[in-house]
Amino acid sequence: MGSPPDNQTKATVLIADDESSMRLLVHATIQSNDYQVVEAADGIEAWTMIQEYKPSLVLLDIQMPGRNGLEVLKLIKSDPSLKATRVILLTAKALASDVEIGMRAGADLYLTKPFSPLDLLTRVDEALNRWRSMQQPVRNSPARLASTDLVA
Amino acid sequence: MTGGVVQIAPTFDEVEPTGVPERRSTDQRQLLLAAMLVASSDDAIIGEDPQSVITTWNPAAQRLYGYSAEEVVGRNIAFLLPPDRINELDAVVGRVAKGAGAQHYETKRVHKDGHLIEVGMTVSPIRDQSGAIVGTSTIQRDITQRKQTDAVIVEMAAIVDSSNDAIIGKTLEGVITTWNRGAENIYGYTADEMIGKSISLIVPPDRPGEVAEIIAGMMVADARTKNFETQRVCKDGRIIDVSLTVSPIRDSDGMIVGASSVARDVTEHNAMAAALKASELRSLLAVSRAKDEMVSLVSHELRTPLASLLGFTELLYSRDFSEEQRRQYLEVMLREGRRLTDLINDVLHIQRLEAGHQNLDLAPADLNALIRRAVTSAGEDIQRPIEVELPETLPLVMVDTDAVLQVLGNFMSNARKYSPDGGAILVTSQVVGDMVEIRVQDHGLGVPLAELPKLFATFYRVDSGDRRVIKGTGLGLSINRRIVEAHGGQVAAYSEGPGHGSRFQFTLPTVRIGPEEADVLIVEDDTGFARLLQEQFVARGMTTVRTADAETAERLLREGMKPRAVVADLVLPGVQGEEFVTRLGVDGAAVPVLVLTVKNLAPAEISALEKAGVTAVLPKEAGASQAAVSLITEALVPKAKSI
Repeated sequence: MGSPPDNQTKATVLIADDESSMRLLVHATIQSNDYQVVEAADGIEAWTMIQEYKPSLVLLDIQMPGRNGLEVLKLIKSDPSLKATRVILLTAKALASDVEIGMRAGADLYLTKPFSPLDLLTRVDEALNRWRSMQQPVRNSPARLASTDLVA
Repeated sequence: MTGGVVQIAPTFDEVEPTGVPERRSTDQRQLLLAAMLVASSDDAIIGEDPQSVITTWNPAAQRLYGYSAEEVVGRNIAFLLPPDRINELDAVVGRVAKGAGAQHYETKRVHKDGHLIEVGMTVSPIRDQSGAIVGTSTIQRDITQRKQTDAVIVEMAAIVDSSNDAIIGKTLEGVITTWNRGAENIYGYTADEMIGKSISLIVPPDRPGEVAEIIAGMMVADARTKNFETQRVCKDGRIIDVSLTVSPIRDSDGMIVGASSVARDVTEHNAMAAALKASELRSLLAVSRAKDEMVSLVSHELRTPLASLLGFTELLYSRDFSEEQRRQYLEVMLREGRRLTDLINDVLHIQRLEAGHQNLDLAPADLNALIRRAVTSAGEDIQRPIEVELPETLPLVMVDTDAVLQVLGNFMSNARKYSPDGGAILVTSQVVGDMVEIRVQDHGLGVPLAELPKLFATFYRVDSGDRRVIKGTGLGLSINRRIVEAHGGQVAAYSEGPGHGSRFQFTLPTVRIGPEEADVLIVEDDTGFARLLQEQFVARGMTTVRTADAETAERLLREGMKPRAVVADLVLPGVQGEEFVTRLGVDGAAVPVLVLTVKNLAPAEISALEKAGVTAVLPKEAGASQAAVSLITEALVPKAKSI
């Protein structure tokens, strides 16, 4: 991974997919000492874990039992405490209209299955860099984050 | 005019050449002029004396009747009258004689060549200078054509009046001149209300220039008749769709003086056509939507296992993993590859079933034997044993045994799959009317009530937490439904709800095979080879019944079937061919029994079979079917036997 581990901003990546083979593949792909990886096997479990871990990045399947990925994405977007959380949709829904819906819902990236693990790794690094760049003000002073937001 | 014979033509001829009128007296001149008038008249002028003898016959009379003056002058006029009008003469002449004055009437006369002509005539008395009637003059005109025209006009008027279509005549200014009953019915206005009014009364306000446009279009040199659809407004305000034909009305000089329109109310027709089109479109859209859904579902279902295969391949190719990880990934790849294969097979199977390409090889079958075989195929599972409760006798069913085994296998493996905590699975069968019903009951997860109706839909999978670990393509029940329905049966699912297990059941049609129905009983599980045999026997005029297992064959024989020959395979599902033919021999069936097998039999085995009553053992190889059919034919025909 690009930047050295920083204990205060130790990243967490959540993999949410109901297919165990997919979780295994994604986990094997992004395994790293730079961040911890956690897994959820359906939409409800995913949302519970997101609230608990406040992950830096969620790799989110769309078609899952309980709550689908788009619903989870909306919950993330409507929760101010998850402002920095990046979301990559990783899904078998590959129609242009599906991609449009996913991007409109606020995903950082839309990847379709099958995907290249090496490409996914690059995308995960990029997403985590974006997350880190958003961490800077938070770490210094939460109050200043609010004022920066007002200026922006 | 004076009485007596007036010889017009000679007088005229006499006068003309001399040509000195001034020397004639005024009376003479008058007389001459009158004679010239008669001679040159277009109307036939005939003079008669009081006894109706013809005295005068002008050239027009000759043209009218075909007789010359020489032929008729001096004859009684009666020969011109049709026999049924012979009294007419006396009546008319009588009236004239009584001083009734000129008589006008229309009647019929006979032409020289015999045909009847319609004539209009004026009969006037001829008086001498004292005023006494000395004869009659008749002026006659051929009105045959006018009569015919009149008849046509009357008929046309009747047609126009009785037409269901609105037929309307109007001037070039759009003033209505004719309004038939059809127009009254369609538009609601009476002729009295409309004649003299403007046609614009029935033109909807949103089409103000239409009438002027139609008339202008009609005036264009070669425009004759215009056909188009438009709308009109009725007296009650309804807007109706009309199919309109507009034609010019010409006067006798060919000038366009108006327009006639024929309108048909097509509102209902249009509404029906629109409804039909909409429903056709809807069903087309439904088919295309179903196809789109299928494609989208399949592509989605393919993407996930493909992602595993490609993803792990790329990882293993580009990185080093521990032996344990490598093994784990390869296992996943193998599993996902198999899942992909299953999926493709299932989709192809469904596609074949849907397109009706799946030919069911129907044969009578003992369903209980099929169920026992399916249970054996399902294998052992101590946590989820499959128990059967079957009645001793079940009518035979007419099925494709492979397809029914697949249905049974799918239901049983589902029952096990959705019983993660174990529990027995019970399979039962029973007769319901002219069908047999098979039930597969489990004690597993059960199905929420709302999900039951969707279970048999393609790719449908119940979406709940306790099921997400259970793998499936979502196609098994859909395939089962299609196979059962192709047999004429029905599938159903029941559940008391989650946690209460579920019951899947299906029906199959029963069949009754009479004892007389087969010359040859074929026991062969290879459908392709069985069909080959059947075709050849049929070509030789023999009937066949095929069963795919020995159990069904034994049932048929028990139930009284008396085949004249038996052809049996040795490798069969369930009871083996050796056992079957041995039992046949024990039962003393005095018919030729032929064994066809792929087995490489030792001489001792062959002799054992022959001892058991087998007529011949043939290896199943190219040409085996012909050899078998020839052998059987020889055995069955006494003459051939003696050779």
